Amino acid sequence: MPDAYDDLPLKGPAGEEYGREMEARASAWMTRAKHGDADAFDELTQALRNRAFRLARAWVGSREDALELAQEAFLKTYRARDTYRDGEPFLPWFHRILRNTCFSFLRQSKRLRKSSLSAGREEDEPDWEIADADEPAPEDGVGDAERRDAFWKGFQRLSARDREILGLRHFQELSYSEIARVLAIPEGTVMSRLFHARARLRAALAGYFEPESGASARQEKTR
Amino acid sequence: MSGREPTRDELLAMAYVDGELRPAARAEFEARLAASPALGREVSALKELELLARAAAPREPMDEEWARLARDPLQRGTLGLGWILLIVGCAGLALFAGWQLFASDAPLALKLLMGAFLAGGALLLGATVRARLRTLPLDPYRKIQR
Repeated sequence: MPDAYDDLPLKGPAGEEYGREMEARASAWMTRAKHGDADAFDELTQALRNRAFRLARAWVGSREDALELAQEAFLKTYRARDTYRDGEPFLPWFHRILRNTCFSFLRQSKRLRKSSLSAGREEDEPDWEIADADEPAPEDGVGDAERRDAFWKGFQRLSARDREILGLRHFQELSYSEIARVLAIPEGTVMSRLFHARARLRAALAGYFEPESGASARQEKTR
Repeated sequence: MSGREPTRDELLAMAYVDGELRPAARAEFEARLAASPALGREVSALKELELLARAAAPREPMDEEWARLARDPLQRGTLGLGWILLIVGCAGLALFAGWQLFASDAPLALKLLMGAFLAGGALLLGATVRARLRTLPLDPYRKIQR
């Protein structure tokens, strides 16, 4: 990761009490669930299911599939409760289960293939392209339907990794340090992924929102 | 597109829009923003994207939707069990009636009709099971357990 990320004047973890509190509560609930408290797992599910749904929605596209997969991820979590280590940060652990559940679904429906672009990126882990149905979900979101549809058309052209980082930032509204904890990557990598994902999203949206989203030209000017 | 690394200004603009800058750095960036149209355009573009993403964010499911999902397995289980019992019952009754008919002194035409009925039923059931087995690996829900 380049030095440019190291000396940025970011707020850092101190500015996200809510995220830390949620992490602590989720880990406590999971620890209690592991030791037989079914009510604790209910509370955990109630608190996190909408967040899980929003990220699943970013990956799989369909609202109904996202609902099912979010539910399935919690069921897998419950079945795997004996493998959870007491006090281990719950959110990264759950994120991996949710991601595996969604990717498994996409693989089975033959919508996932290794991205040809991932070879040129800085991370070792491969990226994945997702083939989506053409139609965006018209029932989702609020506001102008045409702009919303255009957004989803552009969003669905992104890779799995781009959708993940944008989903965590824009749909779950997590801070950089929270995203870093969930994905177990440095904050600098979060910023790098977010920058590139946004640039690709802006490029994908450029056809719909010209001239306001002419990302490339704007980026050149600020160099 | 976006293969290059971001400049420091682009990172600062991103952190500014995301509310990630420390207060002093934020104030300093805002002072620079007022004097730099290029920086202003970058910030506007990021804010525009932020607003668009927020407007397009998936609507959170209502409690009834989660409740419906929780109810569904029971309904699916009930329906599945019902169909299995019905198919087994029908097949058993048809076989029993066929055996009784063939063992009786009933006319040959009636026995042939019963034979056709049983053979047709067996063919349809076999074709359905075969089609199901062939598409099973593509079924995304087969591993879902509740």
